[in-house]
Amino acid sequence: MLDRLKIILSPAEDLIQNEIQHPITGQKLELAYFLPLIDEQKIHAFITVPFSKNEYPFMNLLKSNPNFTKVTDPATWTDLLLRGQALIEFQDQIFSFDAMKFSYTDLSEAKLETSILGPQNSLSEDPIISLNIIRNAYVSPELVIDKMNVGNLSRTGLYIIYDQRKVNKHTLDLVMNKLASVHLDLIQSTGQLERLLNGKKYQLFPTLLITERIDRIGRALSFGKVVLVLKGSQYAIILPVTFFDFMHAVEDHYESIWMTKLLIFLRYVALFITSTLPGLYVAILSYNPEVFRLQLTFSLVASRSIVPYPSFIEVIIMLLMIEMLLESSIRIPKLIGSTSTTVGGLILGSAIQQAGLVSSVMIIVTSLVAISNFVLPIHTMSLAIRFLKYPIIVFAIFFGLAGVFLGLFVYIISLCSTRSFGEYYFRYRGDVSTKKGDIGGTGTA
Amino acid sequence: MNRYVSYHYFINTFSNIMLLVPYHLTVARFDGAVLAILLSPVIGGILLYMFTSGMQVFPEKGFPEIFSLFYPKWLVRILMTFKALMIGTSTAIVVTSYAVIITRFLNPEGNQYAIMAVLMLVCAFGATRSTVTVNFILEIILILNIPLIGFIIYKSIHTPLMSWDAIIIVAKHFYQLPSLLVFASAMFIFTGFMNLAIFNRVLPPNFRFKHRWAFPLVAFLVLVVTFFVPIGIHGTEAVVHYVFLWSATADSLKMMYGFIERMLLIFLLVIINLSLTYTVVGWHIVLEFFKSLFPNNKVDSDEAKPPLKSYVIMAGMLAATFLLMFSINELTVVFLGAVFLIIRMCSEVTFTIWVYVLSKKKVRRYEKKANA
Repeated sequence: MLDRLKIILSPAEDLIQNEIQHPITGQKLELAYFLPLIDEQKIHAFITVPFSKNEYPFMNLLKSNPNFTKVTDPATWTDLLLRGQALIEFQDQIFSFDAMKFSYTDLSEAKLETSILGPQNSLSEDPIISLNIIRNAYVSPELVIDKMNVGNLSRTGLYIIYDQRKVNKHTLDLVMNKLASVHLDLIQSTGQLERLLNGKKYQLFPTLLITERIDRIGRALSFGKVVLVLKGSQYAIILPVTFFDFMHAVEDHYESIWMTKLLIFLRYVALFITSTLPGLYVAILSYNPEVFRLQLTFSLVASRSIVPYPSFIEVIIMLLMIEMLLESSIRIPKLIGSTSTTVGGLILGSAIQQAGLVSSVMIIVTSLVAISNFVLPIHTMSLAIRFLKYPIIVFAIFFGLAGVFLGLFVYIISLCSTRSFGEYYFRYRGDVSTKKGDIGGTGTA
Repeated sequence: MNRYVSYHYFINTFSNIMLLVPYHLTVARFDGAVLAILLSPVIGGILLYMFTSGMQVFPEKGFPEIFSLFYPKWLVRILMTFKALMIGTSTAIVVTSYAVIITRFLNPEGNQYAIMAVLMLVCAFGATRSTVTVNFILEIILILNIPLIGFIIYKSIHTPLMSWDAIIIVAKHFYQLPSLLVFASAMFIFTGFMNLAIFNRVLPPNFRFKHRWAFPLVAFLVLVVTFFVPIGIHGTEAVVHYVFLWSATADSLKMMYGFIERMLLIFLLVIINLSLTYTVVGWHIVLEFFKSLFPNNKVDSDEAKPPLKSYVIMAGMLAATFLLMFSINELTVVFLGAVFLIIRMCSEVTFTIWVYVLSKKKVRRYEKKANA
């Protein structure tokens, strides 16, 4: 049975195949199961311990206990294994044993990527539990799970998961090479691993997606992506990714189609607002007030009339404040968490405007920038985007409106030149099919 | 993948404004401009068909590789240098004229040379990226800007200022023969396919050109709009008073609703984007031509990191463009632009026919081999 299983199944680190020989009677037992899907206690209690004690004829146990079922058709083997059954071969007969385990109750709630209709739980810090729910979400004999250790000192276990039929071999090679070249003593979190794998040192945008959601992982696997699960971290890494993956929330597949499309569009608007609005404020008020129609310009300038310094100082003050507010609300203990937002947002915001240090339009701009930043669904990307407004402000200070567009152009160039493990990061895909061939020749996928 | 070909074609079409094509055409509005506009799509279409069917015989090859198949190294080097200088000049003119436009319309108090320097650095950053990247930049910028272009065209046609009589009067002068310059200006719009001299490298090997008839047709419509709309708005006589004709035209349009009142700002946004992209693409082509001069140059259309020589060549080009900027004023730009348009047309026609002949030669070689 075991030899045959090796042919049917893809090589998986978590597939346990044991051959046990009783030292006294000389009887042989072959045992196969997926470790994460199985309750090991049950295996011990029902199979290995009775077999080794040999107090009662083992064949009789197999036949009398209703938990064991005789399997006659080898075609069902993979299915049974994937559904949490252990397969036993004893005296040329094959039995399945139901030892299924669902680890859903051991999971904590998803915190970073919450959803209304999707699964509510995140991955676990115990990799076996994570693998359990991944195997349960992506039930396929093609799923490969490799294991390797990273970190010279910590030797942290890292599971590399992919669908062997769909995965791009070129990508897989790149990932393996990259992982082999990681030399660091301690690797403690997925975020650390992300920075090590992230291509260039001064990368502007994330080229791997950190997620805690099982539905996102399942979807990624079905598209032939590689998933990395690190021991001791409840976040997994998905790669390769494109920029547009970062703009999709998992819920886009669960909810009403038209509203979803509108929401996706809204995210791009938010992206534009959060990265350019402060720059535009500086450019329009200090360089090109003629951009807007007259009434609008008047009300903008009037709100600034009491402010004693140029617009860019105003912008820098307010943005520094909002960044501090965000940072403090992460670091502050949960119990007193609401204080910082109340003090910072409400009291400081209205007071600074009444004191005439900042115009009221600037308060609107700042809050709009902060709000639209949180519209972006993935945390790592929204962090990267949070930085983008600062270079644009600098451009705006020196070159006005032309500077803002120039800054955006630089971002577009840098997005287009980014590659995520051999895949193009930012492109309009259109109708690319393997039959017609893709741009850039045959070298990269 | 035909869309990638169309992007290269249309970036050239839309950039005609920066190379003062509308100016040269309107100056000759009673002396053959109309006939030139009518003739150029036909000839441009024929050239497009010849060039594309020529390039199709050489899949995944750019000009440097194609010419080295047939000719000795020194001749290829001379030809490539010539092509590089040609495109380098066109981008230099574009850079100069948009630096002028920005300082005149957007930042009147700004230092023109500082703006220029930053614009050029940004373009250099873009142009040193890999060929595939440049393709994507071009695509994304065009996709983002085409709605705006459509909006500008829509607004400019629907303005109450539009005098259809003026257009009809000019259109009636279709029987005059155009001068070489006027014809070359009109032809410029239809020669965007020349970018494939380098970008043919990234097209997949089993690539087939499709919908080729549509390219000159759309470009013809663009040309008609760029020529007739300013005449309709400014009148048959006043239209020659502007060098940057379309900036003045866009400035006479007004939007009734929304934040922004003046159409000029949207026009400037589009112009900045398109000229930056035109420059990035142009410089990238120049870069690749110069790189092919080096012995044992390795062609990699998607290199992870640009080699050192890219930066060196780029620095040289920046310096040359800057020198050109300092040494010429606006009037010489107009003159230089005119000379450039004529030389460019001649070179484009020559190279198109050349590639076509070479492709026939290659096919014949294979036939001979197959027969032998």
